[in-house]
Amino acid sequence: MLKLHAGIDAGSVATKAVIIEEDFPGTPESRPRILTKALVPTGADPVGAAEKALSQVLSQCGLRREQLASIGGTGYGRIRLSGVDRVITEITCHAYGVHWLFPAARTVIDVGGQDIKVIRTNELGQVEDFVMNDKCAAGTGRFLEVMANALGMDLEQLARVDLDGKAAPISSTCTVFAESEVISLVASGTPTLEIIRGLFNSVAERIQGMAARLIIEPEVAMTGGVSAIRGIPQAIERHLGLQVHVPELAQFAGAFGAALLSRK
Amino acid sequence: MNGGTSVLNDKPQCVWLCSYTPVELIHAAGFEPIRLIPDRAGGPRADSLLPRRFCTYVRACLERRPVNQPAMVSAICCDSLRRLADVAPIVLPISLPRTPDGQSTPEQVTYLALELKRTWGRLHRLLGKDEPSQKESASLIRASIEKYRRVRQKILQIQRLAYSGEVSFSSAFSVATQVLAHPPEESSPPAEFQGPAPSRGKSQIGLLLAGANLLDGGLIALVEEAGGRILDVDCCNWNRFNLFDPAQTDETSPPESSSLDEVLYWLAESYLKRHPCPRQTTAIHRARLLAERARKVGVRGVIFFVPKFCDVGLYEGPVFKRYLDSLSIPCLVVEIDYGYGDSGQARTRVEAFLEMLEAKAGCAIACS
Repeated sequence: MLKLHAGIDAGSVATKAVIIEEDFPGTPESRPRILTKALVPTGADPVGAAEKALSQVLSQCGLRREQLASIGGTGYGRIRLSGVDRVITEITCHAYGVHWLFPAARTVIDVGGQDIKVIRTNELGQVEDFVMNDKCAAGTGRFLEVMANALGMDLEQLARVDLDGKAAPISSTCTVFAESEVISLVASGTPTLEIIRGLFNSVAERIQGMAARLIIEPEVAMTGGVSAIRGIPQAIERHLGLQVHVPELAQFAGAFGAALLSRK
Repeated sequence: MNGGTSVLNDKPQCVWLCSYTPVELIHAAGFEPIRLIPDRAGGPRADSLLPRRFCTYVRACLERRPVNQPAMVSAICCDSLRRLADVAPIVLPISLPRTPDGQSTPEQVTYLALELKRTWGRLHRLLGKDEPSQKESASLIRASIEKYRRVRQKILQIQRLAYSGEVSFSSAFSVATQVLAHPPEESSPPAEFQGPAPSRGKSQIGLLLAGANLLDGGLIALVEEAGGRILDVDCCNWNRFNLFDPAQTDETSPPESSSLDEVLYWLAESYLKRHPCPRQTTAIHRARLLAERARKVGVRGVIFFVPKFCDVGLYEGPVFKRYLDSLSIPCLVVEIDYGYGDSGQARTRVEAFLEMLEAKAGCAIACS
């Protein structure tokens, strides 16, 4: 029998929702897959954004909420979500979501709007160990957004920059200090592309430092909104000396994991 | 209390910080010792003297120091408290000898006893009083030791309620912390215990919590609310406030001596015998002690809370994690801003750690 489940990832910048379908639930033949997805800006209203994202995915499938077998919630706004069957942290959800998107992964690097997580997983997609940044936003999506603003660009323009080429040294990963450095580099006439590559390297250095606290095992997968900025996984690859895979739908790994775990 | 003196007996109050601070001496000298429990992080007062990237606990203490207090006394248990004494001359520092293997030598005890004797004189100078005779001093200090023995026993009773599961650790912490924040003459603060921590429908994961200090009781509540079952705690306002390890040592009394030196030697020895804090010993020695505690009570994981920019805690964290990992005891190190324990990031890390332990036990997240 086919069952439908939803997952909502109430992130600090974007709220993601997916609906998954599952044939033969609870059996080895089960192969859950994402039917549809939606992404809405979170803004200052994570609850409203979650409702909006869920409405969008339901509408895209022509479904009513009652037709869902379960709903899972995750993300920083998870504790305020109502009407969900299970609330799980984004660390557990990303690990489990990636397990289904890229089963060979044993390390997950998730970089979102305000958090960086490095997660070591096992062959079942369970978390073996993890590290997460504290309140400091260095190296996160917010950091890149501030830097893009300082350069008069947006994140989409940043996302198109490749790592190959000369990179300016940016010594600090502190958002405030790095912004000052970027402004100084701009003033000194350093080419914008070199500054951007320097920023990519500074993000990768921060992740490398966090990853050093764990025993990193290949394969490495990257998730979260920042994974879409292709220079970042490239820089992480060079710093870790390991290939970094960005699975399709990487930004939805958390919501996918929440939907999968809501089945339990 | 009002304007820095007690309404009970007009004694001037004196704020103390580190739990190695000999409250008995402060009390015997004529002050009412009160542990400063800052309720939020540093602000403009702290900014005026200390950099922002500085131990959040020390900054919070500086920020929240009552303006009318004539003095703050603190054992110098870390570099940050040393720097506080440098920038805030109202702080009367007490130097401690380090005991790297956890065992104090007679020379170290003698050193601390001499430091206590100097402190005794400085406390009297602060009060503008002459130091009493050696015999009278010994008698006054013995009386204060007895008074604080009762305070420590009161706290021990509160701890036992938490260990027996009759009350939640968070409420026991809250009550114990209030006892420390009151002078010993005052009647006990109303004990507003709450019952055992609710399970909230989650499987209860047995945990050991450790930290430099866990004065921010919100952290304890956060762990309980997330579904953690606290089995033991190692921090300076819990087990390390005891002058002896009740599980290992019989409590002794100070010598019935009129010799000030003998009484101070006994006091110094009692402080150096305590369960060691990060400052007193090496990180690996502390890691071994932590592992022993964890195994003794059968916890499934250890959470180590470190105040942001706490120098000793930040060095200890990686050592603890590596050592406990090698013994297959999962360990989570959580850096916290003082007074903001219940932050989203801290909550996420604690909840994820519990989910990980549940999954390891195969009790909740059985992957298909």
